[in-house]
Amino acid sequence: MNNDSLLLVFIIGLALFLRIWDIGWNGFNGDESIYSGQAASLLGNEEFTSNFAVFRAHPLLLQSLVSIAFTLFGIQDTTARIVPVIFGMLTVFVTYLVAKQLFNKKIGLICSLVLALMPFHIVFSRQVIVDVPLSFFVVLFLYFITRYRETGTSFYCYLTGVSCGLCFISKEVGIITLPIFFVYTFLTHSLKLNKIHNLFLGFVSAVFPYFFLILTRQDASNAFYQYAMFQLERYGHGLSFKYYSILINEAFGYVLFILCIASAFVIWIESRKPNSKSYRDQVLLLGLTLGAFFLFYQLLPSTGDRFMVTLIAPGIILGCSILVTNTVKHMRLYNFGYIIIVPLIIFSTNLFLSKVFPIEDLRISDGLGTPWKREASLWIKNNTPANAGILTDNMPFANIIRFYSHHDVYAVTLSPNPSYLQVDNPAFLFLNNNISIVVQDLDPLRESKSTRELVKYLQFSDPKLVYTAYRHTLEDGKEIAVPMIRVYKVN
Amino acid sequence: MQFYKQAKFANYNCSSITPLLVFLIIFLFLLQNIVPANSTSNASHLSQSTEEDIKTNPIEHIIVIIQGGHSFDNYFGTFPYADGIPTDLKIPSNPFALENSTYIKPFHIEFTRYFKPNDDNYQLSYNNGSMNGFVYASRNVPNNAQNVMGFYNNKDIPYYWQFASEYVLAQRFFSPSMRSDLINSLYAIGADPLPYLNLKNIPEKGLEVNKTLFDELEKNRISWKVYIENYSAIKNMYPKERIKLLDNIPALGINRFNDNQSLQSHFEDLPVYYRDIRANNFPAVNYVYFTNTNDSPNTKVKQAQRVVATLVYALMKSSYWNNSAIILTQNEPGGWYDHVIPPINNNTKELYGFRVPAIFISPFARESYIDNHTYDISSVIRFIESSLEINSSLTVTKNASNILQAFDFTLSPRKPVYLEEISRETSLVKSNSTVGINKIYTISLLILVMIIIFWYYKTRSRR
Repeated sequence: MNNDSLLLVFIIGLALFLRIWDIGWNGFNGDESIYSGQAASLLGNEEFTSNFAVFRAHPLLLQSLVSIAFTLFGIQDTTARIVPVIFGMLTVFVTYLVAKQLFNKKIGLICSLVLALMPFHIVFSRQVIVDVPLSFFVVLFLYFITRYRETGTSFYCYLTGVSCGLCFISKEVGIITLPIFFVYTFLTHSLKLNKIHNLFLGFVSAVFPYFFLILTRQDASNAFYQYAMFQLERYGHGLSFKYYSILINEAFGYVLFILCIASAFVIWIESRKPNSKSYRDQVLLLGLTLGAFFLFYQLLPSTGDRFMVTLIAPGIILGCSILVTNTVKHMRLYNFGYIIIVPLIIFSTNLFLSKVFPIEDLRISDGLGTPWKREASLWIKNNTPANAGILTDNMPFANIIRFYSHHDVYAVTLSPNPSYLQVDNPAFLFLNNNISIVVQDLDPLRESKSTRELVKYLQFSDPKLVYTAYRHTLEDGKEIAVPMIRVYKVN
Repeated sequence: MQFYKQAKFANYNCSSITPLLVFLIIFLFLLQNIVPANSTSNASHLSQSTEEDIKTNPIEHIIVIIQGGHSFDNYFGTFPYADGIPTDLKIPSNPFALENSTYIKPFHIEFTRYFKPNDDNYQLSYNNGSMNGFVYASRNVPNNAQNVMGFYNNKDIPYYWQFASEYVLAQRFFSPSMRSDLINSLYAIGADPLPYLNLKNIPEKGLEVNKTLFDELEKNRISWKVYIENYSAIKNMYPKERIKLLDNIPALGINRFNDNQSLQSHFEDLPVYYRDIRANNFPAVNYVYFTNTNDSPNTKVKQAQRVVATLVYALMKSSYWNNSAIILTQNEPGGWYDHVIPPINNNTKELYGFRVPAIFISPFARESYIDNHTYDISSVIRFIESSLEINSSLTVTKNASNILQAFDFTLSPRKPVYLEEISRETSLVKSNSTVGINKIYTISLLILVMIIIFWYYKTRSRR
């Protein structure tokens, strides 16, 4: 085994360690609860089937793989997280392959090391969310399209199609890889119409299980139709420039973001010079992928930073590619650049800057999961009757309680999401004695109109505080316990 | 000797006639008390109650829930058997230039619109009795003026429709005037608005109102409360900010009430309504006002009716149901279309405002009854006075009718009827058998991997 291979093994091991270490410290967030609940429902587990419909917004690739993990190791949050950790680790490996293919081995190693250490990627590849397998298959797509561009063979065209299909059945937005393929191959004059059928064959063979279920099961086709209508009827959130800047900085960090722009610019300029090696096609591919996904997400009425997970690997490859430019190569201490680039990118992320400057480490990150929500949910499971009706203020928290306690849970907020049990008037639940437990989320970062609504509903009866979950923190050198969740018994 | 003979006769007569006389006297006395002079006999034992039935009127708690503004046709224009929207109705967009007008028919509206009508709006809508100026009166509305012709139905306001179909729907209940919200709101609390007819809003210095229903209740030592949504927040507002909210709740703008601790103590936040019911501390007269979830044109009607239904259901589930009456009504029609020409208000000698929805809910309310008597909010106050035997000197009720006619106290109190809780499960929540779904994904992936491996080795062997 040569040094590069050893280094690669070390990097992958490091990626695995950072992603799996203390993976159970926090409980699920709302989305993790849903996907894991679906995975448990896939196994036919009755504690979950009543609360977690199998067919919802997204295809079931991740959920199927998580259900395999549940079968092997039992239904627990730590077990479910093994799947995204493996995907995260494999993303690091394939990023090496892509960067090596596009540029050289050194860049490959640098990119894989940056990705292995990237806080944003570490945080999200420890979560059971569909964006993690999507980010892996997008990088796989980049690899196969590069190989296809190089070899022009039907085999790699087929594999590109397969990776497009796998992107799609991870999360529907993965379909964007198909137009990326066509635009890239058209612009680089590598589009071969006589081989295109391989692309579609690969795509179809990958998406087969998804459409097979829609065509053969009433519940699957209902879900497909209802979610399609739900998504089409949602409106965009009118995001601002400030939001985008926070989003990009949170995901990439300041240095990587600047490097991406600089790299694309320098490579493009250099490609116009005669007698200089052109990396224009590589930049084109990476730029197309980043731009297409980013723009597509802005058309969708979704907010949040998790979709940036898909863009991290291509962004790192683009940013690190500055090291192959002649402009940088001719600089003094050029070799030093290979060493300094990794800490420069990592330490310019919010996680580290927040230790020095007054900014939050993850400002937008919606729902990392908390230990106290899991604690409260487990307390409810162990201390309330099985048929106790529970009311909380928001749907994500309701899903967390459902997963851990297996109770029916209502939420004050009314989401038009077709999967949620629509409760027109929570007040009636009190009047009809359907509610015996009220769970209040006291997290000041999460306070919303629905939190205040919940307080109003508490006044319908005489609540008795039965449990409080705390966050332990240091203030002026002393450890203090801050109440984060309160559980009330009513009626 | 002759005297003796007379005495004997007299003695003989007394001994035989006296029992007869006594019996006759007793009989006449009893007859007079059993059959009163000038009695009015009811043709049928199911007739409407009158004020003479006061001794048998079991109503001890009256709840008046006032929202605003929707017209009768807007809410119940398609209610079965009601005097609702006429067929083939259409209204010109400009009744003063018919040749350039388009014609708008009533239609089912699925959203609310923002609009605050003023005095001019009502007069324009009325258009000297033509009742065709509604669209024109709203021509400056930011969205489409033609939305005034919209109506809701049982899918939008199922609770209101359920109450109306189960109890009494008054289809001749008019808002007291075509003047401002403030004037109509003053009527609603029994205040004589004549001194304030030119007022559009409560002045910053407040109102000086001499007599209201609440004063009469105080005088007669009858318990009362006014529940106001978000009252705690309103109480803490600066007077200048608070005044803007008070056109619909004028009691809070009356200086006497604000300066008197004892009177102020009758005003509570809305959740106290539920606590008072639970604590068996529910007053005799209750007014309920909303601020956030008011039924005004720019608030979601579905949300508003849910809140109202919660109030009604809370009472239904309590021990107060058997001697209560709830009146749901609107302060004013909000600029929405109504086809009925308003008559003259006997009290003010001016035209009534347009019809507003009014539902009377009570175990004694006539079942599934559409009441055709002419009422306004002073009729409700008259009902309060008669039910609770209040010696009132309010001028607004002097000539008012009484909604007592919509009740039948000869029957036993009916049990409450609830609309089925609208909590629908979608077909997505429960899937059919889920066994095998993950197998489909797993097997498909395995097959895919096998194809790839097979193809890879085939390609390699070709080389």
